[in-house]
Amino acid sequence: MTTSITKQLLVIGNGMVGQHFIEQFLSRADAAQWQLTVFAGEDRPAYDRVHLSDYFSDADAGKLQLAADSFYRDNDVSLKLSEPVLAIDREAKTVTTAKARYFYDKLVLATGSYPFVPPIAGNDKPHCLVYRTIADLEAISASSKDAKVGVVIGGGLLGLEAANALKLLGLEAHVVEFAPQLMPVQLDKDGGELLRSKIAQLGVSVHTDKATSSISEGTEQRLQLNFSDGSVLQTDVIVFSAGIRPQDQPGKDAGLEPGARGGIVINNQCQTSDSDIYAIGECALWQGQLFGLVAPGYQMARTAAAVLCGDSSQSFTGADMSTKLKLLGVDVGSIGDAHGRTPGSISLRYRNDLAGEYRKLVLSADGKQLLGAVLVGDNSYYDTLLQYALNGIALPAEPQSLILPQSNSKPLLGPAALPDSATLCSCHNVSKGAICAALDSGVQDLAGIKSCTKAATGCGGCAALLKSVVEHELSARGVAVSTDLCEHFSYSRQQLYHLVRVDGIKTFNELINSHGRGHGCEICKPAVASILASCWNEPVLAKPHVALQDTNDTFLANMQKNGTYSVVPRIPGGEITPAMLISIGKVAEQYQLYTKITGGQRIDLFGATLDQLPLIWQQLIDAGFETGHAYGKSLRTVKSCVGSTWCRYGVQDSVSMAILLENRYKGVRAPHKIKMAVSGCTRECAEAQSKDVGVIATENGWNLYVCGNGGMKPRHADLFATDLTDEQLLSYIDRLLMFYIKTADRLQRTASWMNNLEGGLDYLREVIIHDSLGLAAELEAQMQLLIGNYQCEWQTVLNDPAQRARFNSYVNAAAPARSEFGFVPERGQLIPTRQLINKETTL
Amino acid sequence: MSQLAYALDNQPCVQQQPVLLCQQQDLVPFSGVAARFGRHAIALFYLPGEEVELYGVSHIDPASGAPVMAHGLLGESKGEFYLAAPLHKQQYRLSDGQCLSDSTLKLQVFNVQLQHGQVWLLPPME
Repeated sequence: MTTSITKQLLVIGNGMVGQHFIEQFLSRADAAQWQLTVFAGEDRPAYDRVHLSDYFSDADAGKLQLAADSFYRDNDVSLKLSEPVLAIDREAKTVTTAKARYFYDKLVLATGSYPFVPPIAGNDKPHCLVYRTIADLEAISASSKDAKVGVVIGGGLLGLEAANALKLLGLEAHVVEFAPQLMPVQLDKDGGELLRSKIAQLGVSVHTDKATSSISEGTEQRLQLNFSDGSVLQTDVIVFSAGIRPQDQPGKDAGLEPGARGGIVINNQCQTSDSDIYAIGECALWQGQLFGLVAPGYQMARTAAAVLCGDSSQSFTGADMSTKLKLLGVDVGSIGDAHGRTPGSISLRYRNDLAGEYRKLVLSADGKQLLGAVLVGDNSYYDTLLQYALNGIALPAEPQSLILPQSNSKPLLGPAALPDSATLCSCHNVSKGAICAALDSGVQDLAGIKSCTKAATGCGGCAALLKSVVEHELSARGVAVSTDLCEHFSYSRQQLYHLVRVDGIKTFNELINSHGRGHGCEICKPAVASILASCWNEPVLAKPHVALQDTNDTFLANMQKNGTYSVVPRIPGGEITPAMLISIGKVAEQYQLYTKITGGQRIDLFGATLDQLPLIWQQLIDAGFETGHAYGKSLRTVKSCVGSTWCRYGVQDSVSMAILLENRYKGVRAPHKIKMAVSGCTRECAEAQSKDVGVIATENGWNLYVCGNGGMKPRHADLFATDLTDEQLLSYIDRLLMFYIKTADRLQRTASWMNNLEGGLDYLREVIIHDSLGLAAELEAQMQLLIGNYQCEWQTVLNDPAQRARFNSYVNAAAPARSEFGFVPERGQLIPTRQLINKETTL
Repeated sequence: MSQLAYALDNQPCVQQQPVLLCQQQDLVPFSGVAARFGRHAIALFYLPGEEVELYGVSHIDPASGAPVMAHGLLGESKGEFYLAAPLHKQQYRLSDGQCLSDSTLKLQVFNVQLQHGQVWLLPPME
């Protein structure tokens, strides 16, 4: 590529929509002809504003960031942080910032909006804040220190989010709304009333029909709100959330056609009145409409990216403004014409003050089409209703059945009834047809669909619907979605686990006789062996379990390609004395074992014959080693850096913590292997974020990351909890591991386990941290039982002549010479011969 | 000639006299052990109480050439017993050694019998 043909594309704004535009644009082939420059007003790259209040539960702004820092570098996007555009010169085709002027061939405005602060006297006093950016949140957080009361002015969607944020900060929260009800845009009067009473029950005081006339100094608290009806309310913090206004200044100044009430006018191609300038997101006005939701903004971003690359088939034709969310824990949904403004429309309502539920349908005059709906208290009705409304599907004869509480005959709109054109995920515009196409191309499961189509990875609102569509389509394609473990058990692993625990079953035979059929197979035997071990932690080689184990568990070693085994002693935390290291070396030398350092900070000794294993282990155990469980579906290693003991950056003793964790969980059998790591500071030398359980030291304690892995499909672990004490850390990991052991599928790592949990990470937090299922004490007790029953399996084998006899290669002959296995020297060690068998002459 | 790297091979076993391989107590119920006969290694699977109580197949994995088959897991599907190879989990029917997942692979079958607490290798059946 030569610079002469590179065209300049400038994007003003790096919010969610601006970022989506970049990603969409880069995914197009023509993008290579362009040099992309992005101007951000804020000092950080694009982040998730939809989940802004997570900042208060997480206290980690980095978690909200949409793309890794390396994204911009890797894609050759020049990102100018803290460099807002001051002026656009359409004649010269330049934009000006405080630092420089930049030429453009094409320009995209993604400037978003700013919070509207009502013109109330005193609104500029200290502790009068807004709720829009991370910087705003930091200001609210700072202002809340030593504060008692917080007030949000504005009872809309964002206002209630802000009230939640104040509550999370420990303030007594109030919401003041000018209109007679909460969320006047999305809800009708009855819905608003119910929401109000539910929110009041949660300890947020709601004041509707209140106009604030001024803000003065308070007497008890810092500030006083004076209302037009003469009443007053004292508070320490005020957050304005009275709507947003399009950030249209640079566009308007440049002479682009503005709307009467703000915004830059765009056509169906997202072009402004200057065809070289595009506008997308909240700053754009389409047919007199502004769109304050992320999904329509994303659609505009896609359209603009396509049009810029010469694909005129895409156009923006308006967007659905339906919303489903949980506000302060209360389900609220609003679909289409929620207020029944369509002439002739009729409504059906269900209101239950006892259960705190309200639902309304707005129907066309003939009662055949669903135009809109309002839901408060239970959003389980939302997905079906949205599909009726969006796809114009004819309503059943008795449409009230769609909102009446669970009767057995409730006609659910099954996945089969949806047309291929039905949009399942509006954040990423994924239709049922796209899901089907992905399945046809070979994707086999829900997790695969999520990663290839991005469906349900935006707001996540469509997750349940997506799951049912994928399951339905898979079974339509003849792919068994049965959760049966195998032909011998009509139960999932999770169900078998419960049967084993509830019935106190101790052996495979008991289980298959009472709950299965036949004789078992290589699927169910090791799975049940693992469940039995997870429940009771009896030695895996105890007599009734012997025939169940995979080869590696049978011989407590890892079978290699030539039939010999490898040996891995446990080296907790990767810490080892020179004497211990020498003793490993002596054993390896004596038995001529190929020796290699593993990725988990221990030492793997290869090439031992079956008969040699007990001899080798006797020496290792005499030297003070234990089995490393490298062969088991269980904890492998806890990797660590040297931490505060040696490192000048370390803030906690990561080695001691790693040793503690490794000794605590060693030997616990799980659905799959488990890896952990502990880093002594945020430099993260132990790579904890690529582990099932990652622990990173902070000044105040430990941050816990969960459900990461390396391997074929690497996944960064998610930040789960911050600044934990040692005790908290252990109890969270106890609960997490035990919950995983109880509920995961066979051979499912923690990452895909979490991805398949309905509600994902948030649900896991609820269960583990907030104990929403009331299971915490039980999980900890069960883990304690496993920890208490630990024994070194190799020690057990060596103590039992009968078990030891299993390690004879032949029942009727002497141990085979190692030379029988075929070894050749390479770089001073012995490795297997490359080819053991001549394929042509086999049977 | 087969070019195995071991002092073992998987040429057909043609011996004509019964040979005592081992004792019944050397067997592990519903699992395998390996026994030697000359250059042959035989994996013995013991299924007490079943119609056929003892199966003998080659200990050599046809796919890799490694002497490992006695360490595979015993499985059952629709009443038929098979052996899952420990390295790559191919399934071999115990009655005739046929690989169920790859028609080009077959495990040599040995005519073994349990008699009065002893395990015997008998001449191959025609």
